[in-house]
Amino acid sequence: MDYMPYLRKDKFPHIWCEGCGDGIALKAILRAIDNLKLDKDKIAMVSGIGCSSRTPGYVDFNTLHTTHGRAIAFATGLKMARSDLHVIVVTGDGDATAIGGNHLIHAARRNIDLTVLVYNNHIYGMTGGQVSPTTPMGDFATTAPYGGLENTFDIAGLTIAAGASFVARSTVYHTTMLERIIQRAMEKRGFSLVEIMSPCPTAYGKINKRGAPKQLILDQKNQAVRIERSKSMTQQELQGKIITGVLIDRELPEYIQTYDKVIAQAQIR
Amino acid sequence: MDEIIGHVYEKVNLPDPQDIQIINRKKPDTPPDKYLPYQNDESLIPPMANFGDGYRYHVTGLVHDETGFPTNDTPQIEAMLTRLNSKLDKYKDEIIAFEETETEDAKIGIVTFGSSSRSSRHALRMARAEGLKVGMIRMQTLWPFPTERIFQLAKQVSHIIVPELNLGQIAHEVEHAARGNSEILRVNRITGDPIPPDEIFAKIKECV
Repeated sequence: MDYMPYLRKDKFPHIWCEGCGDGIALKAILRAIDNLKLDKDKIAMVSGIGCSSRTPGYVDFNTLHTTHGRAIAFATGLKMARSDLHVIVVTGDGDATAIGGNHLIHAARRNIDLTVLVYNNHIYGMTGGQVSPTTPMGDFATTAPYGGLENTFDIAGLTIAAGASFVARSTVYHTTMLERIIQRAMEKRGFSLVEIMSPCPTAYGKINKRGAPKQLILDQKNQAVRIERSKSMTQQELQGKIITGVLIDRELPEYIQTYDKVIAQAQIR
Repeated sequence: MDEIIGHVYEKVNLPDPQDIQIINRKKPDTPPDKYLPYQNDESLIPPMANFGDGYRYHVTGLVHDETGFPTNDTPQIEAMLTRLNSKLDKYKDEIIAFEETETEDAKIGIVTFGSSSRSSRHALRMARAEGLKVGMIRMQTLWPFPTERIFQLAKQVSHIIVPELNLGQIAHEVEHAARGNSEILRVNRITGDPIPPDEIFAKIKECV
């Protein structure tokens, strides 16, 4: 496919480091959009703060780069005002689950029709390598010089528990799966979240001595286990693994549809 | 503005929806490929396109240039911040809102805001009943501040009383606006309940 019609060519080069997974994720998003033949005028991409959140600047859609943690809040407002738009949120693990954690769980609980793509790189990359809610316990960060003390959020699990319609996970190594599940997330009416495991060699890999950028990508290949296969594995076998694929896909009432019914009812009265 | 306003119940009369004038934000008449979302003009208010209407532009919370994209270019940063600040300055007469009560012949002033306005109005009536010429300005916006109007009032009255449900915050701003033209007296309360009008009335009597 031709990526050029989707890109703002004058905004390149991008800010992402060599070995970062964010560019691979962008490619998968554009392929999914191209497969769906969506009108660029009807796509809005909303982000917060961080490396992943710079994505909207590079793409030729209606783009909104908001404040830290608030991407889903802005996206909710936009979707309520313009339900004809495909609203895609691009956010990171820190943005979505720390400062924006409440927005994430309540948007999932409402089951509003958004597609939320969370790039999980286990760290705050852009802002200085601080420990994030998904930094594996014991791993190092600039603010965890003795290793992280806290339990790790399972972003996909959290979103399923909060009530989202569709939740999936992929690594950036598995490019075909990534493209396919992003496409399904966009097609799904309701709150859809894809957790995209995207390695950060600069802020996370270096301090944790994880080797060359290539190694972080190869590690994803070795750690990934498809959801179907994971079901026959023991907890012990699943230790340190990344479960990938569509984790949940269910039919639930969608918020805007429910809201429109209330408006119709109120007008009759 | 304060807890009492947050909790008070009152009857309000809403206008008929048909009588409400809706003023929408200015929309661009330039074609999408020529559109600059933050282009400056005399109005200082750039036309803003709706998402979904064919103008695929970028909005960021970072400092941006007239294209809407983040910038680190110092002249562009200065231009953006100057525009935002000048916009407030240019339209401050439309933004600043306050309500005056019996200020025409006032010799003593009250400058107040929030729920303390109710205590102040009661105190004003008590004072007027005794023939004391008290006038009051109730600020409906605090920023930008009605500096010029308070300066004029300060030249007219001997004292300005500033009742506040704190240890004195807006009183500093009133002092600044008065520029020494009248004495600023404070009535403060931090007990969690409203200021009793008697306390303000007692302060008015101190001014006589």
